[in-house]
Amino acid sequence: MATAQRKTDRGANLLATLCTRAYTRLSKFVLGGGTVIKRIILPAILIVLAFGFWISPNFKEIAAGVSIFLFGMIFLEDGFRAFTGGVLEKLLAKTTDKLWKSISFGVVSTTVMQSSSLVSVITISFLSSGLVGLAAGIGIIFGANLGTTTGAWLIAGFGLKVKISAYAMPMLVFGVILVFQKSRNLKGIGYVLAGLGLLFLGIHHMKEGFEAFRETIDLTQFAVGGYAGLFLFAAIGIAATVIMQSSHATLVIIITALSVGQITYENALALAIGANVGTTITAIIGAMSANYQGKRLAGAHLIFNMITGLIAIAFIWQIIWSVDWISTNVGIADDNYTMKLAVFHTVFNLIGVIVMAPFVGALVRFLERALPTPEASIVEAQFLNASAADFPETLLASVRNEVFHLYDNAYKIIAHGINVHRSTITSDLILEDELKSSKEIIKEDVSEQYTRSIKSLHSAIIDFTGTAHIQLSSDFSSHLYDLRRASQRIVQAVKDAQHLQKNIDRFGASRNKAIRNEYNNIRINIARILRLIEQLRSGDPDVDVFDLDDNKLSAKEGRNATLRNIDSMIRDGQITAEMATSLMNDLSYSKSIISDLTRAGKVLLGESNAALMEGQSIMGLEDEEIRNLTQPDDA
Amino acid sequence: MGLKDILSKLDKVLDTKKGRAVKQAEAIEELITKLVAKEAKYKAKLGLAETPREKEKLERKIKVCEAQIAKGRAAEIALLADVH
Repeated sequence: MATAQRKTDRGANLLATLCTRAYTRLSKFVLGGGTVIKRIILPAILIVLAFGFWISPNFKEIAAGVSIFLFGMIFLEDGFRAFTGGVLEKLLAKTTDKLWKSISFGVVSTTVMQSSSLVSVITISFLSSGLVGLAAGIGIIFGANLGTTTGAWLIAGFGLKVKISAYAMPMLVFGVILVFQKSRNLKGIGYVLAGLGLLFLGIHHMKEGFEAFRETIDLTQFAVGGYAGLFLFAAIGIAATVIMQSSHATLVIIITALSVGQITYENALALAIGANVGTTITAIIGAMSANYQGKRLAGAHLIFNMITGLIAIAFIWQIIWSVDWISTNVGIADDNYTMKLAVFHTVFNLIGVIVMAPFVGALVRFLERALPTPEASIVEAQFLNASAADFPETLLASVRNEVFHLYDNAYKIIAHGINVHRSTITSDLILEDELKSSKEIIKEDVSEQYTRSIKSLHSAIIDFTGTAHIQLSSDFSSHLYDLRRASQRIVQAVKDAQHLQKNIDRFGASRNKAIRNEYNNIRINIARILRLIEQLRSGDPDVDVFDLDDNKLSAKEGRNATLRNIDSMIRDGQITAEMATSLMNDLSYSKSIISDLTRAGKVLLGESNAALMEGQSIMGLEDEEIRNLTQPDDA
Repeated sequence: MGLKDILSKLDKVLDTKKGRAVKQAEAIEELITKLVAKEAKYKAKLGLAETPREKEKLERKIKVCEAQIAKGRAAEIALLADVH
């Protein structure tokens, strides 16, 4: 009972998660980002859809088809994601590492599946889950365009078409059973099968819905000669394929219309060109739920098919001549237009591939510019994944790497917060000279950056370490605790830098030399700890972790010197009492930043050997001991 | 090495707590050796320091090294006392 209940709960959770993700992706696509617009448009869309469902059963079927299709895409992406780093990734890497290989991959897979649209959407999910790169994806799409021409041969030669929708139900059943398995690979296969099942089912419903429109297409009314006719029939081919969601279905109509003399041979060729462009609609729908990489690939598909179509129209007479020549040589009768159509389909797609293949690099650059990588609203954890939590060593390594990731973000924010470029910190320049001579204010919204790249990462670290169920020995447990504390200290340092920033900007460039000097000293002390940490990270042989104590003592002595002089500076009229108050507060913030970064640095940059690490911890100086080392009047 | 010494060493290795303490003491000794060398380097530089600022900086570094070495020695003694 309990197991059954758990499985039901898991199923419900899974469905809820997928529904939420599907809604989020759809709403992102349909509604963009504006909350106000969202509030108005979402109910409007729902009302329009409900009205549409009420008045038209076909519309209901089409909308359901699109929804099932998109749901399938999400499943498919999740499924392929399960194989990242595994066999499929290696296989794809090997079979798509060169353009000719990815084109061949596209040809073979489309010939087997008999659907270039399906291969395109699967490639989009490969790309979205990071299994292949954009250039390889484009190669597969090129190959899919060639592979799809085998369909024309099958239809023309044997009147045969593989009905993929027949596989939808078994795939869904097998897929869902596998999704509930514990094994990561089986789960991945389950998601892929269920995803494919949903894709087939979605396409099937879309086709069924559009079936009503099929009867209304009467091609004789559009009979126009010359290039105008070619463009018109190409447009009709696009529209028919978009409506029917299948270039194969359009080809069947073309062949039928051609055989009964509804259209001329040239018109049929233009329709085939249009069908080739129209078939990209499936990829475009698929890209709705995909990330920016998937959208780029759908863009590549559209560009390739459009350019190929334009080339085919521009050189239609030359292509017709070559089709006739090939047909004669392979024994196709002059009046066997259906077979000639198949030859034409192959020839013009082959020309497209030959023309476009040298420009894949340029196409990638263009798409990267046209559809830029979106800046993430929050920085996500890079190293924390469920598989890393299976063993103590990998758990510690991933948390340690993530804390370094957090530190990298904090380093940038703190450095910019005190108006210092990281290039200055890592240079050999003397910090005192550089910082005192520079009055540049670096525009860095520390508060915004804190939310974007610190808080989210720290939360992920806490969540990951808190939910790891692995049994840890006391040593591992204590090290994990230290890493969490280090993460907390880095977060605190950024928060303090946030408090400090306003006055650093205000007084660091002040005309009042005395206050400017004091704030420059604060900047120098913080820059020094950042530099020392960078030196330790780069393995500089001139420094070791024990130098962090020396740096802390040096900063403390500098701070004490300032505090000793504050009264005399007020007395001499060098600074106002208000300035002095700000300075004392900010000295406290700088002390906290240096202290927190020192402690975090000791944890992150100490020896890897456990005994040596413990030794460093024992021999490192505590705040009290550092205070005892300062000048007697300072202490 | 007499039988008593061998048994004593074996005892230390077999007793995890004692073995760990010995290992820890050895690690501390290794760190102390490095710090002593570092301190000697600073002391040599101190003799050549040209500016008061440089001298002050080196004196501070030596002071820190001494404090760290002292902490290490104390910990080492405590660890070895536990072993014996």
